Amino acid sequence: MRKCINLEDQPGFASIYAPQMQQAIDRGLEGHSGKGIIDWGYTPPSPDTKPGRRGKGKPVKKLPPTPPVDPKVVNPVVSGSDLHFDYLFNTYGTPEMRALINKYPKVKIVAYNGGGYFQPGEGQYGTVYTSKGLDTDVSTLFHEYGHALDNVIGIDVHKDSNSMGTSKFFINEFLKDGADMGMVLDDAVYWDYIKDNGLSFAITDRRMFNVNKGSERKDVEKLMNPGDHWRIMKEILRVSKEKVKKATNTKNPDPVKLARLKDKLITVEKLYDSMINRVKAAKEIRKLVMDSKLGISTRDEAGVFRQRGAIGDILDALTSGELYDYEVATGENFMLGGHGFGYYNMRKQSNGYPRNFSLDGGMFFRRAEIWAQFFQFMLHQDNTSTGLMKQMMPNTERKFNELIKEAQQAKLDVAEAFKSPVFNPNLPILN
Amino acid sequence: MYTELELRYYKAKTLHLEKFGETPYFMGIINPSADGEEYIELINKALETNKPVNQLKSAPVKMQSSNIIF
Repeated sequence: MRKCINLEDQPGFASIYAPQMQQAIDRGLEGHSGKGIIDWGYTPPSPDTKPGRRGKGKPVKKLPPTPPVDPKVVNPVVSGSDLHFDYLFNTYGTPEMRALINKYPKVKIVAYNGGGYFQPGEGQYGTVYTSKGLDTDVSTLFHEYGHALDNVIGIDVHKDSNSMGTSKFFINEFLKDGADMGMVLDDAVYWDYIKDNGLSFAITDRRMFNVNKGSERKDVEKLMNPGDHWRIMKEILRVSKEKVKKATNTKNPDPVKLARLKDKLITVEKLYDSMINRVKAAKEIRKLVMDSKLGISTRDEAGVFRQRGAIGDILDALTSGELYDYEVATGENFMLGGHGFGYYNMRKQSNGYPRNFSLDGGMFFRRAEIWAQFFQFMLHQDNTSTGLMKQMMPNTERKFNELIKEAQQAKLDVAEAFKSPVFNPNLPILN
Repeated sequence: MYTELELRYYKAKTLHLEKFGETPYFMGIINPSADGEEYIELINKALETNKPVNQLKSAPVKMQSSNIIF
């Protein structure tokens, strides 16, 4: 039988200090209705869906009414979407790139202040989602429209049925430039080591990292949390040194085995040093960017201040997210921008699941983002970033220009558009 | 080496890491030197409400799809 007691009568009750319990009692007495009606056990209503993420950028004071297109503007863009976006293209874009935009079918642009993105599967050529009324409008629109044209030119000029079919043509160039910059490394020794030896060690104070011998890269990467790539590199170096030390300190060292272990250690040390040098190079690039006009530009509607993050994102793409991984593992901060964990590789994102399941999947986003950043720089009338890119990635810049020129000069098969299932020849033509 | 804004952002990020054991996660292009103010605001709110910042987890389902490009 349950026995009820009165807590207040118990000895020592008055001296209990429990603010959370007191708060809960007070809230209960107040009632969720807020009218002082005690409603114990009542579950307060909550929204069915979680609210979406907040957009980046601060609202500009108040958007003035979008002015009509100035007749003096050369090659004005008429996107068919919100006039605000036409205004941004016509005010901050270059006439040459506006002509390119005008040449190709217009992609639908939707105002969305939850962060810009491009959805290639929505509509015939995809849909751009971009902010309106924030000081990030120009950079987001130009970046996302870069994705859109990557897709449109791929379909119309390169006859590629897969999405983002133009950026695939400059992969070799950015990989070469990336290697010259010290960003793209040959890390075969890293994955070969794991495949040959497996791994089992305490990767952090709270977590073990266990991988069996014979595991392929994709099997290993999908287990890796942010920061693990660098932690594993350090472990491989430690174990390789340990093995050489152990083999040397035996009574009768096997010369063949010892030589083999030393050779392996040299290759591991070489990769480790390359990774350290990559961080140094990234810091130098950061300095170069911050000393330029990009570093001192302020938050204004032209959005030049956001291009420093775009250059950081190119480094993030070149290194498949390994610089951000290094930041997490070491606590050092030097990256100017990027796309977050798991976007450019097969490792876990921040929700605990991988986004890509193959190297090709990671490469798709690497090329698409580098293309969109180059496009953004080229479209903008401010050419500081284009100048920096010419200096840092000359081959990529040259190839990008070639692809843009090809797209400018391409003869479009207009009839193709009429073969689209969207077009219905039975409909009357309205004049 | 860092701007004042970045230093404030890194400080907020460290507080977030210390409290929740994970760094705050912002979806799409991360640009602390330009968008730091918004990140700091979100981190401060997370510290107050005891809910870590992870925009990927709280984003609408269609934005979590791997088919979209940021």
